[in-house]
Amino acid sequence: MSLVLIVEDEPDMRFLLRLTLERGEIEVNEADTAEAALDLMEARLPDVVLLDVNLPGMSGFELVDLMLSSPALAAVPVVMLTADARPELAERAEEKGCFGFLAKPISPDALVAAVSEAITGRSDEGAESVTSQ
Amino acid sequence: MKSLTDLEGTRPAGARATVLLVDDRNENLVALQEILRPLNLHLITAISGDDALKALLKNEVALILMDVQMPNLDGFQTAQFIKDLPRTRHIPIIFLTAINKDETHVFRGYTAGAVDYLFKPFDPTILRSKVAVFVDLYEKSKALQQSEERFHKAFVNAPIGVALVGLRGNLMEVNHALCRMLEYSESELATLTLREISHPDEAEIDLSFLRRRLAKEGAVDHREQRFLTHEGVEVDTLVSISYVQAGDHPHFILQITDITQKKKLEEFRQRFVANAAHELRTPVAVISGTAALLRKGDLDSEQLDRCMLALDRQTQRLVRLVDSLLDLTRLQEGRFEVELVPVRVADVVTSVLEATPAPDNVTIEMDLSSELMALTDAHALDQMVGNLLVNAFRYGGDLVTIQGEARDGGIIITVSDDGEGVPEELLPRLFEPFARGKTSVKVGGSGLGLALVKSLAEATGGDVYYENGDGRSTFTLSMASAR
Repeated sequence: MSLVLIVEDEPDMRFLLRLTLERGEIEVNEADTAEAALDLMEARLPDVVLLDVNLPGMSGFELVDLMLSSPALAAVPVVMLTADARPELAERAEEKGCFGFLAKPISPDALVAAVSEAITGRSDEGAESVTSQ
Repeated sequence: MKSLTDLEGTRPAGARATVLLVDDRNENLVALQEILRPLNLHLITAISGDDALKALLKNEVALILMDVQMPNLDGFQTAQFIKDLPRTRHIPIIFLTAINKDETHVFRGYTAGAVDYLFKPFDPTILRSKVAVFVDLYEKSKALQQSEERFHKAFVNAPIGVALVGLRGNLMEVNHALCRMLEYSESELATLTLREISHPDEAEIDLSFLRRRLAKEGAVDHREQRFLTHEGVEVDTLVSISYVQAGDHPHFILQITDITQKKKLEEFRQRFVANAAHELRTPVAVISGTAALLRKGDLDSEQLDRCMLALDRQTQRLVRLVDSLLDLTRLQEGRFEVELVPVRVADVVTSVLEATPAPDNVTIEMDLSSELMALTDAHALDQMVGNLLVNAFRYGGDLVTIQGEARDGGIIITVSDDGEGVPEELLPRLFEPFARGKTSVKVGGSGLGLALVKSLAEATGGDVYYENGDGRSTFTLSMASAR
C-alpha cells in the first residue's frame, strides 16, 4: 500500500485529509509542521507528500526547497494544498516542480484522484528507471 | 460746550471714518463739529500739535483738519511729524488758515493729494463736501485693502496646499499648508521648482502643454502626483491645476491635497479583504470536506463523532471570525458604541478565565487588588483581557502572569508570558489585522485578536502596547481609573 505524508497544522483539516485518503485505500502518516515532516521522512520515505503552504515555522515552500536539495527526498512528488487561492502561488508551486496544487475547499474525490495520480506518476517513473538499468 | 482735547470724541451710531480736528481755540473745534455733524463721522479733537500726535497714536484716522496758527508746535511743524511717521504718513491733512499769501507755497511743498487747504472764514458747505470726498476715498481704499487682505489670508491659511507656479515651474508663492505638507519653509520653497520637489520617478508635469490645454477660462487639470518632503519622505497628492493669464505675470494655480493616508487606508482595506477571505476559506474547507464525507454514509461511529467535532469547532471558528470582523469594522468606522462605567477589574479577569481556561500545561499567576476600579466599557475590557490571554496561551510558554495596578492616576493591566516573544520583523505591524509572525500557530487564531484589542483600547480612551525584556513578553493595557 502506498504511503502519503500529510503536512498540515490545522487538526480538523488533517483529520479530514487522513479519513478521505484512508477510504481511498491509501496509508497515511501525518505531521503538523515541516520540521516534524522531515523527521518522519527520515524514518520512512513516503510515496507522496501532501503539503500545506501556510505552516507555522518553516513554510511549505521552504520544505519543498529543502527536499529538492536532498538526494534522498528530491524525487518524492509533492502535492501542495492551500486556502490561499492567489494564482501566483500555483505558479510558484509549478516552478518548483510540484506535482499538483490544490486550493481548499477540495472535494474528497478530487483529493484522492490527485494523490493517486501522484503515486502512479512516481511508480511509472520508478518502472522507467528500472527498465533503463 | 465740550472739553478741549477729546480723544474718545463723539461717535454717532453707525459712524463712518474717524476725523481728527486740531485747533487751539475751543470755539473753533465746536464750530467744526457742528458743521461736520451731518456727515455722521467719528470726530475727535485736539487743542495742540502735541495732543494731535497723541490722538494719532490712539486712533486710526481717515483725515486731519488742522489750524495752522497754534502756539508751541504750529500746524506745519505738526504736519512734518505726521509725515515722518510711517504709520501716519498717508493720512491726508486739510489746513485751515486765514489768508496768508506767504504760506501758500508751503502747501505746494507737500505731496499732491495728501494735503489741501481752506481759507478762513470758510463756507460750511464747501468744507463738508471736501471732507466728504476725502472720507469717501479713505473708505474705498480701506475696503480694497481689506478685500486684498482677506484674499491673501484665504490663500495663506487655506487648509489645503496652494502654490502659484510660474511658466518655468518655479514656485512663485506657496501657502502654509503646502509648507507643512512638504516640510519646507516658505523661503526655501520659493527657490525651488515643481521638478525639484517631485518624486524622481514621477513624470514631469508638462507646463507648456498645460498652458495650451488650460487657456480656456474655467479649465482645470486633475492628476495624482508624488512629491518628496525636505527629508525625502514620499507624499501622495491630488493636484488640481488652473492657469491664470494675468497681464505680465501669467501663472498656474496648483491646489495640492495630501492623500497619503487615504491611499494607505485603501491599500490596507484591500489587504484586509484578501486576508479575511483567506481566513474564512480554511473553516469553510473543513466544513464542506466533512459534509462531502458524511454524504458517502459509510463512516463508523468513532469517525462520525470526529466529523461532528470538526463541524462544531470550525463553525464556531467561523462565527467568531465573522463577529471579530464586524466588531473591527465597526470600530474602524467609529460605529462601535462604548459605555464608560466603573468596572471592577478583578471580576472581569475572573470571568474571562472561566470562559477561557488556561491549557493544562500553562500556570497562571494573578496579582490583582479587588479594589481596582477602571472607568471603561465592561464588554470591551472583557474582550481585551480575553484576547490578550488567548494570545499568551497560544504563543507564550508555561507561565502567564496577570497584574493590575493604579499608576499615574490611571489603571494598567499587564498580561505577560515567558514565551519566545514577538519576532522583530512583526513588531511594526503587531496590532494590524492578520499580522502574523513566522512562528504563529494557526489553531483557532483569526489574526484579528490584537487588532481588536488595539481598536477597543483606543475606543474606550485607553491604549495597549507591547514590550519584551528579561525573557518575558508583556502586553500592557492602560485605562482611566474610576476613583
